[in-house]
Amino acid sequence: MAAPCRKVNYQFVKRSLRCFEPRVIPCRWSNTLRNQIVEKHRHSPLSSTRELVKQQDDPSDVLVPREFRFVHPDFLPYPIWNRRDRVREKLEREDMLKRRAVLDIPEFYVGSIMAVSIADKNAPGKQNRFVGICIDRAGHGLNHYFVLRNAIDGQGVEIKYDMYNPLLQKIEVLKMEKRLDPQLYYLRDAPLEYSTFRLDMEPVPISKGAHVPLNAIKVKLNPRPWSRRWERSNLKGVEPLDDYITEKMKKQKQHPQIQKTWEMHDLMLKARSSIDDREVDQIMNEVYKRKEKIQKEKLQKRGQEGKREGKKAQEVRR
Amino acid sequence: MGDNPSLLHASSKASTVTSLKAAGPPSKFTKRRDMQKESRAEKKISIFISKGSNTRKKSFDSELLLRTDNVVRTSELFAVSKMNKIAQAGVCLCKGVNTCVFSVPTQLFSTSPSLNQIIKLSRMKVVDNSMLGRRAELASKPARVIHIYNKKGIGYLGDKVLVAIMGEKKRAYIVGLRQTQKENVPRFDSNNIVLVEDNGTPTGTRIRVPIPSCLRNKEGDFTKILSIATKFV
Repeated sequence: MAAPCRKVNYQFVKRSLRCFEPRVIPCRWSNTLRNQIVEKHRHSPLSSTRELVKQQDDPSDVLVPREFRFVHPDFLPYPIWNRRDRVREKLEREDMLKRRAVLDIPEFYVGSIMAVSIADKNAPGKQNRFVGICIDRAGHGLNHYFVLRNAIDGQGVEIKYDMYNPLLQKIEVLKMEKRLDPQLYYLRDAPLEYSTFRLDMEPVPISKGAHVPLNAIKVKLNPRPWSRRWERSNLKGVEPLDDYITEKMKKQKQHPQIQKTWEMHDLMLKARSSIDDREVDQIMNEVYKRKEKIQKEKLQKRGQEGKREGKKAQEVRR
Repeated sequence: MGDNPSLLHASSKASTVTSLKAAGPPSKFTKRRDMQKESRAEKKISIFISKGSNTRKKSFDSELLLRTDNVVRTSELFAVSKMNKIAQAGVCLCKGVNTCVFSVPTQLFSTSPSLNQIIKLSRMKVVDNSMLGRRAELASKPARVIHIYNKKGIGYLGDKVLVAIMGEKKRAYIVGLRQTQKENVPRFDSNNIVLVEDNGTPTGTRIRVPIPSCLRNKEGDFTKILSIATKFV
């Protein structure tokens, strides 16, 4: 009745059991450079760019304002420390700054009302303009994106734009303000009045150097069902959702496994969940200097163009 | 003992495994509404693995351990195990048997990710000013997709669909989706369709809502729909 007996291959079994081993930090892909190797070559006594490296590593020559990193979140390093590729970040930063030299990307926050014009071959003027409120802003490096929302003819519309997409021709901030939440996806479950903005809206001027105004509006959500369980997210820009928080949820929240009070003393967890401030300072220093350069060049160009126009006008007069 | 060593060994393993419960949080692929079911039900799968044989993937009750012809390829097991977060595995290293038995407790429910797609029986909102669409809206009986005219069975922006509305079958085009779209393509708050006759002319005379601009380069019946559109986004 039994099948003809054969020896079991123990090697095969050992290999097959590997999937049940405890998870180890995954090794790097072959097309990325480990940071230790890059740093070793940067600081080696034989390298020709030692002076440059010293300059880059010591950011004390220029005072970068603290808000700079919040104005330019796209330049922030990749937050996952063991999957971070510094060479890729550096290359992306170069591309981003080159793009910024051509296109003026203004300062904006989630909650600001913006107008974006993209190149559209199907549109009559080859340009397509959309006005909306910024409900989300995320992504690192060249993948940085923002989402605009508006309600047109009673229909809610959202469009996601990649900030460094060459199809973007113009980004204007019509009204610069902040909101109480980092993302405003709850506007999908709120009455359309909160998401309606006129397409021919005039820009609201804001003086340079002024604080970014905070819109502390408390949105009233529609009756349930919602697209997400908003009572579970700690939304500040929404009217209190105490009606939807049950006794069971309150009890569960108090459970020590959920509160995790020990995590605020966990230094390694903090270290691993964020990139070191010193590295962020270095990056922001570099970006700040390059940005200043770009702005100078732009002013020079404008000056030259003005001179040229003046000359042309003189010729015409003659 | 010598007749069916695999059987006996497996059954002894089975008894130890029934006492174990699947640990850990639910698999990331399970749907939210199935979370309640998971906490209640758990079923033991016993999968036979044979080295180098041509196999079909199947799951069995403990009684079916007797069968040695239904086997699973090793790679498939690992895929299944990763999907279902296996808590414990037992190995049978029976001497003189050409199959290995992996006895694992798992949660036997459909583990496809939540997809948010237009498939058959999806409810759609008619967005033109046709009488049929208005009637359906007032009677709160939304149009339901019963067929999608592409080889995929999933409706995307600009696809033609067959829709059941107020007891009638009608063709329609998808002009707006609630699904997250690629960048520069608008995402709407409702799944919108425009009703169309069999010859391709739209049933209504005007479309009340904005239409995605990417549909402007579509040819054929779409040009008639674009002619009745008011706004493009």
